[in-house]
Amino acid sequence: MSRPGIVIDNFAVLSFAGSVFRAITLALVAVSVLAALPLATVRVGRRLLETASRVGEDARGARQRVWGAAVAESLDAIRRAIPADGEYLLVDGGEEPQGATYWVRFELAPRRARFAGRLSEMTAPLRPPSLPAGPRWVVIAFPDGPAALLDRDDFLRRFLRHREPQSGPR
Amino acid sequence: MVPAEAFAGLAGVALFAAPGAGLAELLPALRALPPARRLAYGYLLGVAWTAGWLYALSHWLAVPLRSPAILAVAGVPVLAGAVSWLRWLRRRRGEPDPPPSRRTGSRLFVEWLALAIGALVCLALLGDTLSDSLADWDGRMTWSTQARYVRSEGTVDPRVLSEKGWYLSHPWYPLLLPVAQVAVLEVTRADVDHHAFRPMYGAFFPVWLLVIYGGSRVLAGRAAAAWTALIAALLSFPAFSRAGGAASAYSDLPLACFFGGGLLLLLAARPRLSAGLAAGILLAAAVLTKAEGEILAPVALALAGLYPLVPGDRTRWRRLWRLRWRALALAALPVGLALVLLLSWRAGIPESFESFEQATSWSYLWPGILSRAPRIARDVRNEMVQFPDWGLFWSVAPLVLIAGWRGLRRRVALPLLLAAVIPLGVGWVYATISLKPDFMVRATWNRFLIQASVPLLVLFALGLRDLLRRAAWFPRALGGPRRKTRTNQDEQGRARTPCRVRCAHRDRP
Repeated sequence: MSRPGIVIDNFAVLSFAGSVFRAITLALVAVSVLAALPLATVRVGRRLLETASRVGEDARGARQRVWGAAVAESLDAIRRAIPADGEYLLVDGGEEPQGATYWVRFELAPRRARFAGRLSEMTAPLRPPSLPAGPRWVVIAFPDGPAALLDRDDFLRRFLRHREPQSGPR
Repeated sequence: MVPAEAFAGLAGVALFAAPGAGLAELLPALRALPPARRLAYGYLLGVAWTAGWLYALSHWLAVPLRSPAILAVAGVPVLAGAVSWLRWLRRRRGEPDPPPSRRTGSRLFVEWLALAIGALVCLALLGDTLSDSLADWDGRMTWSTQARYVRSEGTVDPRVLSEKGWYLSHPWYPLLLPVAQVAVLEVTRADVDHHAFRPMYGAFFPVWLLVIYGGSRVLAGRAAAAWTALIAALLSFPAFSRAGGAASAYSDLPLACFFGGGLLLLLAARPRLSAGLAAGILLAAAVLTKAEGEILAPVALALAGLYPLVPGDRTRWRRLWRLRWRALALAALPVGLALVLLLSWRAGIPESFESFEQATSWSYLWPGILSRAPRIARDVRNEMVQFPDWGLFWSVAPLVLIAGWRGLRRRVALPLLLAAVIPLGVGWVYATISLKPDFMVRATWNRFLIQASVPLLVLFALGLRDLLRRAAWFPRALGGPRRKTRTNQDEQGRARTPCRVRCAHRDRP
């Protein structure tokens, strides 16, 4: 409670506080722009430099750069073996969050895939090896190496021997 | 990047920009827009028209998705637009030249800055999309894989979708963008490994900026619009993210453009019939772009319908409703058709919604909406304060809305707020019913932010306008209020002249 003689003008105080709040907010907007500028400059600059460095590189070269030569070659070998309207069984040589089957399926599309399971689960000792009926070819997608192509009989034979296939084109 | 491939990528953008320009020429509401904004809306209309018709023709009439059909569908609005333009030129020949448009002042520094930074970001993005192959997650897992199947069989009902048992992620996702990819690849005769469709996705970024700038410019003025566009251009996620930005082949940014663009057209005080039709085409595209579009498009129509009911007297409601209902009815027509097409197409997919059912359970909704909320809120916050993705934007934006609350007292603010909240609400519910809510927030929340971005950023502009107007100390070049001089008062007087008088020359017959 104010003493007699001292008058606090609530409106003026609130108005001043509002002005300060607005000024601080505007300053923060400016700070957010200034803070974003260096990162944006780096990102824009890096992409422009990368674009300049890729002049003369065709789509095939770009794919090899993204995948690595060995992986790109293994995918090309599989594409040659399975016709474009063909189908195959896809086995995940890694774990689901690694997404290996997604990338291989994308690269092999429009060949149709049936998912056969995860290699780590198929190689469990007590589990009899089995594959869904249908396609002749089995493709194993590895998260960190070239995909492998096997005949289904070959795939089952290797499992009977409890041996995981080596990654790489066939 | 070799010249022929770069040309194919640019031709892919032109494949949609050209019919879009034709449609914009035919629709008076879009023809009256300044060239850049007309081009932006035109691009959206071009994608919606070309890919939408191809989707419908392929599904209902089994028209093969090959060059003749694609060029015919794209060619119709190009020809119609060209004829309309030539007729207008001929009619204009006998008339005196329109008076030169008078600006109410020179461009502000912040407008130049927004233009320069926006152009640089778009250039970098274009270079990236022209020169690098697709390397994102969902683009390869879902959208582009489906596009390859669709292209191979020349139909939106390929065997992998219509037969059971094939390994495909989310077969029930709508195919508008994959069909657009197919159109680009077929017309440019691109090799299977060529990423000719990536610039088509990249072009959505400048379109997004222009839609936001246009909406903000109309509702909040030049300075606030320029600041908003500048801030949007500097956000890294919408431009460069490989998990939902324009550099990826995700469908979230296109959905944001279709939803936001359609909504803004419908929220005009007096939407013309042509604006209603354009909005309807954009919202129909939203339905066919992504599953969330099935919710967002009807929401946009409902918000535009309820807009006159936002506080005001009853006579005013009636008057506003009378001005709007025809445009709304015209907008609802394409949306209804798109929903019918989507349901009809989905009816032929035996494994519809399987992937959704595997990842979610509605039994978590209650009491999960309460019990899971703190955990989800924490994860959401973590996503929004990621500096490399969003800078400081999500920390500052709420302050702008609070400090600039007077700017939000306009009739249009409530529908915009609801339009921003609903996509985020969908994302929240999705995380709540998910088996792995933390993973779901990490994987999807930023994309829901993108979907809500257009109304959110226009609201941000409204708040910012109020702050700028009241900051007498803020430099004029950066958008501060105009100092009152005699000349300025004259200019302000001119600016107050009714728009109908000032802009009469822009509305061609």
